[in-house]
Amino acid sequence: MINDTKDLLIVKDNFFNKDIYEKILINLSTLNFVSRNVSLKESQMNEYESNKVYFNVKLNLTHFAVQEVSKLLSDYGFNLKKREHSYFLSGKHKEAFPHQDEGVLNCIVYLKGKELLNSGTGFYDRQKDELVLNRHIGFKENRAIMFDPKIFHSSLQFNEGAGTRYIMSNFFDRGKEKNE
Amino acid sequence: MSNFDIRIKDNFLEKKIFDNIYSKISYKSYSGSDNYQESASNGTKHIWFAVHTEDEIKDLITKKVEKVLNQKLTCGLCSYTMLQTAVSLVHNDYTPDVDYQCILYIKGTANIHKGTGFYVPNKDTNKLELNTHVGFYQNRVVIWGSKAYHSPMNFLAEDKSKRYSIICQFKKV
Repeated sequence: MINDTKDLLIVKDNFFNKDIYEKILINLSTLNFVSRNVSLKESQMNEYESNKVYFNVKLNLTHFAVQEVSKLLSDYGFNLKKREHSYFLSGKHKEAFPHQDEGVLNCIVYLKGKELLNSGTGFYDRQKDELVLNRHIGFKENRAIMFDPKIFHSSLQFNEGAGTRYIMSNFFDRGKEKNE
Repeated sequence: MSNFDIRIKDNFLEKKIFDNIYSKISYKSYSGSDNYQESASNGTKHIWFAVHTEDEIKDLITKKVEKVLNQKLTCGLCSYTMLQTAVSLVHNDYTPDVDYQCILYIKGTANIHKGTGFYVPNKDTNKLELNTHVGFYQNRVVIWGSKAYHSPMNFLAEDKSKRYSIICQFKKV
């Protein structure tokens, strides 16, 4: 059992099996993505939200893809509780916005887009009170990135050649599901 | 080909153990006589300077990597290494006896260009392209499935200082 997610970052290709992955791609094409600017209240907007234009679909905890992510993380040895899950569609943005999130593990799955170094996610180290990019994970379809949400991170869809991407984001807390 | 299974963990060793290794790693008797690997991208040879670690270090790292991977392992190779590469050396280290390998960065400059790059084949050209870039950071371990193509990234850094690390290769039990 992996109980310690502190300072951990995992990059896993072919995360979903072929059948589930294809089902997700079909699912993406049938859903109504809403502008994040509409779905968020003004009080929830921060600098990051206003800097980046993106669209999302919130997924409930019983959605097949959410259940699958939860199962795969359990196979990894993580003992976690589902919290918030969404599909996101985003385009190129202006600049990086390193930030932290709540919870004990984030799991981002890259779903659809060009396989580019500059369409992925950056992770930052604190060096002399400055945040410095020190891990740069490129975009690849069906790649999962699982990480400690306290590591400063940012979408890197602002560099040269960055493309549009669909991802699934999953936020987990510590603890078992109520029905398990 | 080149499917990533990469785990990166900072503050990998307890501070006291890390500090002890850090203080001694520059003074090992490194040898480069039999350590080389042919690059997949340009035919150059990846040469590094190495010396075996003590058994207790090998056992400690194996146990800690097992925890990160949630997998029992045997360690076939565990060496202190010193590197100051100036060219790109994309290769993989897969053999039937090597399922995973790791590098534990011990001493050097924290810099995205002093670490390890991972490559994927371009779908159109089938050439290997840099896709993921893990920077050097002291006491960071990078563990990966041994089929992944990778290269030390020092060739991109303006700072040509040496980096000291521990490298290990593992087979699943």
